[in-house]
Amino acid sequence: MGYQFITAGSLTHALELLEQHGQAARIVCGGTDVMVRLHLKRLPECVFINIRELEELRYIREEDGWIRIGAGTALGTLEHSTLLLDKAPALFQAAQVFADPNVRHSATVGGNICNASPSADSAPSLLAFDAQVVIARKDGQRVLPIRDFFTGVGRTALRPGEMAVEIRFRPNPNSAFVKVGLRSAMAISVVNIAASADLGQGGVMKDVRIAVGAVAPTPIRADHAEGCLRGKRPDKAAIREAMDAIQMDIKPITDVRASEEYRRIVTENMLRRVVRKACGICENEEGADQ
Amino acid sequence: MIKKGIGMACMFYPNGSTGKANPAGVFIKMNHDGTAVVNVGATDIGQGSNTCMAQIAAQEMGLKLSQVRVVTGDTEVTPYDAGTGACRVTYIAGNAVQKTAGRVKEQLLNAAARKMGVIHSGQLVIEDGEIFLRYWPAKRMTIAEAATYSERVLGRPIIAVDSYSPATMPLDEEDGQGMPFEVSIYATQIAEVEVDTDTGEVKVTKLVAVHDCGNMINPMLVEGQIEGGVATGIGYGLYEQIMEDPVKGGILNPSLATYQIPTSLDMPGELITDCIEIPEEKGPFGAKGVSEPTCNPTAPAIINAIYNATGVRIRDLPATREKVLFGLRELERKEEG
Amino acid sequence: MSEYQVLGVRTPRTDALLEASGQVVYGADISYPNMLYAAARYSDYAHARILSVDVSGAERSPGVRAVITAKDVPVNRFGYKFQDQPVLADDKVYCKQDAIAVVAAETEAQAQLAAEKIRVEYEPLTPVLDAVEGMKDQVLVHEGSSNIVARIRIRKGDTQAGFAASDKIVEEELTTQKVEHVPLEPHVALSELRPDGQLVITTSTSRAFAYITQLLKILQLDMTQLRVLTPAVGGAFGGKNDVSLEPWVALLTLKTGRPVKMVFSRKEEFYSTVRHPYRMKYRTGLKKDGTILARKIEIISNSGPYVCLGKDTLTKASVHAAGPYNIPNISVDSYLVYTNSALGGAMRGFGVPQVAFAHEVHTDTIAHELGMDPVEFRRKNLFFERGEGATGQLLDSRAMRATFERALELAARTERRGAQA
Repeated sequence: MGYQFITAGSLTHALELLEQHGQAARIVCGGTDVMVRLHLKRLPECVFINIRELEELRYIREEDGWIRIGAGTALGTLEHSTLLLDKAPALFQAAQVFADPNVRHSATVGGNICNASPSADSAPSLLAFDAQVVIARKDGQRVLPIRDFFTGVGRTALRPGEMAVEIRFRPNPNSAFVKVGLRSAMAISVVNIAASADLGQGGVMKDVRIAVGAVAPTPIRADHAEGCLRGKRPDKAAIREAMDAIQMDIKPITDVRASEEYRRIVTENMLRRVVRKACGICENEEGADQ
Repeated sequence: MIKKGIGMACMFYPNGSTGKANPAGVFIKMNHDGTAVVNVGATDIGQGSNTCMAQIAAQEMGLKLSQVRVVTGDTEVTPYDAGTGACRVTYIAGNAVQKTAGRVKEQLLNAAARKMGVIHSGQLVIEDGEIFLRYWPAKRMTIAEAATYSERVLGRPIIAVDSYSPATMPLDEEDGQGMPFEVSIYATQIAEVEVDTDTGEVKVTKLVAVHDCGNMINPMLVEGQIEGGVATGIGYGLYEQIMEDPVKGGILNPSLATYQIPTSLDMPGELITDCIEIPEEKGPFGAKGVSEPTCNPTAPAIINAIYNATGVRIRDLPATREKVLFGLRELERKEEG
Repeated sequence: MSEYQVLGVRTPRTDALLEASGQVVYGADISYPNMLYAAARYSDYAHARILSVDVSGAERSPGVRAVITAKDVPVNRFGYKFQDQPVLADDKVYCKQDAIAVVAAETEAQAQLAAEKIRVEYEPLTPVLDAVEGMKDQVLVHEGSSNIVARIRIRKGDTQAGFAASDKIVEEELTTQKVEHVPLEPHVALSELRPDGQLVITTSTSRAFAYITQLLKILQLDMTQLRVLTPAVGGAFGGKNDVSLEPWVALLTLKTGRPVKMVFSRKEEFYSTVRHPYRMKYRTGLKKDGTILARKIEIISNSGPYVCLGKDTLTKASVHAAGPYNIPNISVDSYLVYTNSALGGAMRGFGVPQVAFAHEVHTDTIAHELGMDPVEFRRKNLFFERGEGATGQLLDSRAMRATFERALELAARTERRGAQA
């Protein structure tokens, strides 16, 4: 049957098409993953449902204490959002180092999470924000914590007929993102990590959420590392403890980009960097503290 | 922590193939209107040699660049050329072009001498599209007039052929002694790097590349070649490696997603290129080729800078982040132990 | 400035505007009426005997007009100095990039689909992938001949005496990796038969005459019957010095009478040729004051399964291996070794980037061991007052000092200067 390509005229139309084509449907928006896989002949025959024209899925706004981002919003848009710069720097920073300008202006937040690559650059920040994914289908919608969204390499909790339409989270200016790739642009992350801290009196982290990518089948929360930091100041001892603990959170593999050992060491080092960055401790102080 | 360091590397490299004839043939026809078609065997592979050949031809014949067309890459039409490689096109094909253009000039001047009633063509000068008497500049004619006169009145269309091959000797089979090349070029590059001790990432913050190419035919092309060579060298030094299955063979990363070439953001923060212009008496207008080995000193300069910054000595290319980081840890262990 | 002053001027390339506006015609942009597309079936093994090839499935596949195998090639071995490379694999496959058959079909997709339907039966053989391993000749890549296919030997002065007179000896082993040229434009070739019977091959190459010389032998034609044209070439870096897909399209055109086109995918491009990986051993004898007395070098080059330009590359490397340093006693022994890994070929710098890495890193190691500043150590030994290479040739090396001092001057012009080099 080959491939079919249908452009949805509205979200309602898109959801109808999804319902109609079920398992055979594949959503395409920015196309930066789909096109590559199509060229490599690694995509089974399917019905493409193009949602690129849907303005209603493109927005970044703050309301009711939430930051809401439409699934069709390009990462290049995030990179220029002063709202994110001020209130969700972790996501802003992730968008800045995502692929390259060309890809950023086509690739979308929704696509990045639904593609469910273990190294997806937007995922750690969203995990650190405890974001929620708003999932729509023809006859309704549901909301899923992003932590439950990723189920495996390239797999999500989306069911046939469903699509992610919005990602929302509570803003946190005390957040940061750090990425290590193999070059300065167009780099698939070897480790990417985000931290979001709720700072209290004397710089104590009342709560802290850390998420890391490319070191497990899905982007993950680093529960052990978080436990070592919760209720403490981001001082050398606490961070050192968390650096050791994060080894229990991650399960990196060796592939053509990096070895397991390299990923383990760099995860530790980047944990230190991202926690300090989230807590507003600048790089120089970090050096002095070593 | 960021550690900074500086390193240098030098090189020499020849123009031309090793110890064997590697000629360039050239054929030029001048049209009656004073424009010229230059047939060169050496193909332009994107580096801009056609422009360079046109410049040499135009300068020698007193024409504007727009009056010269270069034809290459047709085995039926162009004379033999050993190929675009061995850094040989500017020097060897360039010499052939200049020699052939000199023959065109000779024919033009002979025709002009006949037309002007001058006994010896040596009294004539060709400059800026015109031919005139050295000591009576008012007496002049255009190149087009001379070409038309030669072709249509004297019955001698202007056609010239010549070639160039460097004087070399094959190496002795037993001891490898001999004179394999006619000229060589030299260069020094200095790299400054910042090494991130948390990741092993190496940033080339500054790179100085000073090359020798005799007189430059086209400074813009020379600069482009040096910058491109530096990019190649950065890839060789820090990023690129084909990985093969160690048991079954076959390339594991045959794609641009897994084989890392440097991006523009991986180029040096500051890239300074410069040329030493010592005229090469055997070269066309004093020129030598510059392009091919511009990549040669880049990788070692970076590797030496990494050592200067960190004490980590990389002896197997490329200096991936992983190798640098493991090197740093090895050093730490030694210091502690 | 006068329009007639064209030398030494920053003239934009004559094709700059066409390049920038996408109007330059590259091979992939060319199409002929009634043209077929070719696709190759490559080996599944790095080293295996071919027991049988069944192309019937491909021949029956939609749109297929011809399939060629080794028996369609008039002379099935080529190479510049060593004719050891098959156009299409016959009795054995020597590496994964060996093509076994090539299909011509009405569309590219049809050709690719048909190529997948070719069935090959193999008897797998142990591949030898590492050059040092290969030198032991335990597994022969080409039966009946040693894997050490070429040796290069340079002897200048008396290295033994030089080492004997030395105060210090520094030894170091350095290795380089395989890299690909990665031109923007992958290999492309088209062939067509002109009405007068002339076969015209249009191909992206740096060396039209070297190609036609090879193709004449393979196809058993003469210069009146074959013509090679090069369209605009989108980068080569040495990777377009060696015949690859040209004989395939030519043979398919001769078989069908129709024009044939083939463009390498990026994957095929990676499987074309690579820069030879070298393993280099350096041994240098020095006086206390930093004067180099002797240098002994051993280079082992992994050629892949064919010589290609490996010997020429290794020769140039050997001549330059000691670096731009005045050394009275030099010995170089270089070995080119057959393996079943990726085929080595020409690449920008032609063997010298490998040895430049080695001699310059070695220079810094020596300076460190002697406790000398690498800059001063170089000043003492570089081709400054004179330049005498490893082959005994005297070089006009005036520019060596000039580039050296100028580079130091430019490097010093910054506030971010790190430690002394």
